[in-house]
Amino acid sequence: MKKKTTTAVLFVLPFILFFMMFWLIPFVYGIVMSVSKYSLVKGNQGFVGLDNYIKILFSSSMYNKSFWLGMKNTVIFVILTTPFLVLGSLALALLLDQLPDRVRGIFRTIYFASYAVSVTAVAAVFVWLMKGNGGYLNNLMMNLGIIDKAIPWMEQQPFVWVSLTVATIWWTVGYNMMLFVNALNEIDTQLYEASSIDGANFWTQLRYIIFPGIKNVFFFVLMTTIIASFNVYGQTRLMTQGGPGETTKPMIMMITSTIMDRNDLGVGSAMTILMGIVIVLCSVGQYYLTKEKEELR
Amino acid sequence: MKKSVALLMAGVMALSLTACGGGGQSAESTAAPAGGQSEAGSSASAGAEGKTKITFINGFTGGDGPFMSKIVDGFNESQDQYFIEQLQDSDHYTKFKADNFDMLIIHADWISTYHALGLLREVSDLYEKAGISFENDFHPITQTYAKYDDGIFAFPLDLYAETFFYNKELVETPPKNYADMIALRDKLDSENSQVYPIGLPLTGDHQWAWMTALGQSGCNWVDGEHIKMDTEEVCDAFMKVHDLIYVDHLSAAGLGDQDHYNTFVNESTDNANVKVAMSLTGPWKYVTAKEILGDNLGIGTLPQIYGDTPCVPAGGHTFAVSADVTDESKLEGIAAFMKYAYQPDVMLNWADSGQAPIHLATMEKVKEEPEKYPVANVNYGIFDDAMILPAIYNIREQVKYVNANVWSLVLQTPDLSRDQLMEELKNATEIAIELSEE
Repeated sequence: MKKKTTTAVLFVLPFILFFMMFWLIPFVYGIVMSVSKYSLVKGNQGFVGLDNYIKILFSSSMYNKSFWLGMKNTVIFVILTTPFLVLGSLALALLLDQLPDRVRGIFRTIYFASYAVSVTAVAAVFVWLMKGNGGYLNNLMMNLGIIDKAIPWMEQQPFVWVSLTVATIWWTVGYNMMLFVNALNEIDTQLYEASSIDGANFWTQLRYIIFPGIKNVFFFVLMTTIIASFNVYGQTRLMTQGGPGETTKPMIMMITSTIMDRNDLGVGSAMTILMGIVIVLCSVGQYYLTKEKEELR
Repeated sequence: MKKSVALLMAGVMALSLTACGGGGQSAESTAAPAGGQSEAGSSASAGAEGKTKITFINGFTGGDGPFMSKIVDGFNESQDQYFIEQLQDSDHYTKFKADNFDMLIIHADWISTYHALGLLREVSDLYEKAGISFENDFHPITQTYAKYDDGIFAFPLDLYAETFFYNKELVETPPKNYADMIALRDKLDSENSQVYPIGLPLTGDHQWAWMTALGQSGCNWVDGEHIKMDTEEVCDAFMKVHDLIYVDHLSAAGLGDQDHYNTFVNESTDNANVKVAMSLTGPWKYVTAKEILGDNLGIGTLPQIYGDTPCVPAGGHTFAVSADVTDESKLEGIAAFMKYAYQPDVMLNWADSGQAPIHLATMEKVKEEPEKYPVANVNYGIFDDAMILPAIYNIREQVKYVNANVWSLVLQTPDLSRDQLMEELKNATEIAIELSEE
């Protein structure tokens, strides 16, 4: 019995150790910093209670403006990308599901391949493609006579959001698609056959067989996509540097700027905690909404 | 079956471990640059044995990196007492704040902030030990950013000023003022040919672009410890930039990142893309511009675009010492390094990188060879009119709002009103005041 316990502890110990080192301790330390006047240069200058949170949420300081602007930009990005990343990836997975076995693997690899590319490369390629003056897309459209004047895809809103959305979808849609492909594989093929005999078309199957069959994966994908979109940083940092103006500067960029440029770890940590709370609220809200529907059903 | 899977897994694990080990070994033996970082001193770290080690961090990860390494290596070879261990890292400011480096390269416009934060050591005693005179051995402009009420905080290395490049194929005589630029626009038939006199980009040297407008217009945009943008004269200067694009069409509208330079060097075969005849950019662009344009590349004096006040935005690099260095032997070593580095023949290595040293004796040597150092020599001609960001606390943060929001508003709003502009200028001033009081 004792040997079993020792073995179990040995198995769990690495996880506990890493969980504490890389999650619990930084998290607790983050909370401590968020209630302190904490400079990157001068270190901890003492406990300030909720001052940092008040400064961010209720004062007229630059941090208040930064926080709400960052939050607004992040929410815009979430709203723009999530539907495409969830429904688009589901559509791709359904498309793959309809393909003959011989070519399915090829297309699955093609769609997934972009996910293996680093954000730096993705950003470089899309900047080259979408640049207003001399960009590939504009040149192509002008040569084909579709437009007669360059569209400022990377320079002016709302076009910049379009570029960021397209780049993000191209980059990450393959990952969600793979999750849906696996979920679709779990559905018993006999259900399709039986429903076809009963005269069900594709949409009826989607509603009564496919969606109930992949429902859990769907909500998982939805939740993880929202969380990932809230954490957007690389694309905006590398493609637009938060511009034009600060219109594509998301929350994480605001936090980085507060900590690294303004040396304020205290306010930066408070922003991080607040952002974490928003993400948790979104996830919990979504969980309860889906749970309620299930109970009603 | 299970055994073969286990064997395969074990093989993969073993291979991956071998790969990690191999990489590490390779990095150690060659000390090759990786990921924007190179540890120039590590390859010779054996030479540090028994010597006082001085750690030195800088951000020279581009073409100028090897030239700084040459100076450092030369010093290390000449020494039996001290050893400089150099780290070149693109993120060197963050690393300097986080780790214990003895010495760093700091930009001229960062000194005021680092000085206020107490991160830098006063170095007049090191000047004395090195036999260098801050007042007499450097161009006077260095006194505006390296010297404070409580002493001297840096050893000036170079100055780089906004440089005026033009394409001789498109520009016969470089314009001297706004009227000349309008004449050039007419000659180029800009609106039909899509070839404009200059390009104002959304980002890329855009801070220098608005500093030129404010400086040449004679604006005073500093009030005590913060920038003051919400004045009529500053508003006028920004409106001149706006009118340059939307009224006089001297620049195309809607140019993006680095388009002031890209449109200058890129070939435009049809009228689809914008091209410009002149570019106001950093001197570091000289080498690539020369490669592309060859003998058609001209370098001239900045035209007076916005007003009569001569003003050329500039920046500079300096050596500084960490406030944490108290060890006497290290301080002696730093003084010895400065004594070595500021010999004109050694400092010429820095001129070889394309930079313009600001050490007077070295400047004389550089001036003797205008063919070899063309950019440095052009820069020397405008040092007297150079304008570096004001030496006030948090200045780089203070100008960020102008760089991002004010500039994009001016560049992207065809029917911009003064009220709209003034509102943003007020926001910029308010943020600057808050930052200065932190």
